[in-house]
Amino acid sequence: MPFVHVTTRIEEREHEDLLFDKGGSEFPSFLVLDAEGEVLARLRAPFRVKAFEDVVRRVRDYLARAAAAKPDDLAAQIDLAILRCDLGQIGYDELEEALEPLGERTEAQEAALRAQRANAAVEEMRLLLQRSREEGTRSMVAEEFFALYEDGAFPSAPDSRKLYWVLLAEHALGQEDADLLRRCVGEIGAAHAGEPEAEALVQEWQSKLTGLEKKGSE
Amino acid sequence: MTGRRTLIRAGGFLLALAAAAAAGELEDAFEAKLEKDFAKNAEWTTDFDAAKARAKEAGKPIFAYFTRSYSP
Repeated sequence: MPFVHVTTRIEEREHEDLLFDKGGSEFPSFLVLDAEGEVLARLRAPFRVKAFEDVVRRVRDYLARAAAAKPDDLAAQIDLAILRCDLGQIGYDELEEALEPLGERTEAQEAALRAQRANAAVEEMRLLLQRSREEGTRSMVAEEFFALYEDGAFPSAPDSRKLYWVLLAEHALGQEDADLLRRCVGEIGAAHAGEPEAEALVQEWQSKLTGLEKKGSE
Repeated sequence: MTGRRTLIRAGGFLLALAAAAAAGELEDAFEAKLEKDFAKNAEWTTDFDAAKARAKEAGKPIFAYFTRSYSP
């Protein structure tokens, strides 16, 4: 059911603050909602066909799993809680609360949880970068990302991945860490796969890596 | 005193006129947005309650696009 909401602050128009009520703040925004109006998934601009296909697939997967999961199947409930966070239904803090009574997690679930922590941290840092005009913010954020990296926390959300690996690449370049930069360049390429407009960015980082490797071999 | 009252009344009248004009502009911006191709090329509804009712009936989720008159 497609629903378009044009918010224009027209008095007495119903649901004028609907996006904000649903935890959104950016225009334009796409949300997938259930028949009760609860958020099933969020989609962030720029909107690409692949992202739409992906969100439809993930929502279907979530709904099927939610229907099949038995309340006493704690492993399935943990997976569902992580999936809900991944789709943007709940924030990371709510995820932690939801997981608390569900007991021990597998290594794969721990990795998925770290990815959610990284997604939340990267989004927080993205806002900081947008708002801060202070010199040094970018390198401070890059250091934060390096701390996440050392902790094995790698974001899974497409936009978070792009910012995370580029800033980590900047950090690696500053530290002349060719191994880390090699990994970052690979991840930047993977995060931008299928985006012709990002070719220049990927090539730029590839040549920076080549330069650093050359410098190291001299 | 009478002059002051007249001024206040005139000020109130002008404010009401400005508010009405602004509301009219927003209504125009709203209608103009819905005339864009994206709105014509799909069967959208602008009524949230109707969208929920139809989603319930069809057993499908709602695909909601939030935009502003000035945003893409």
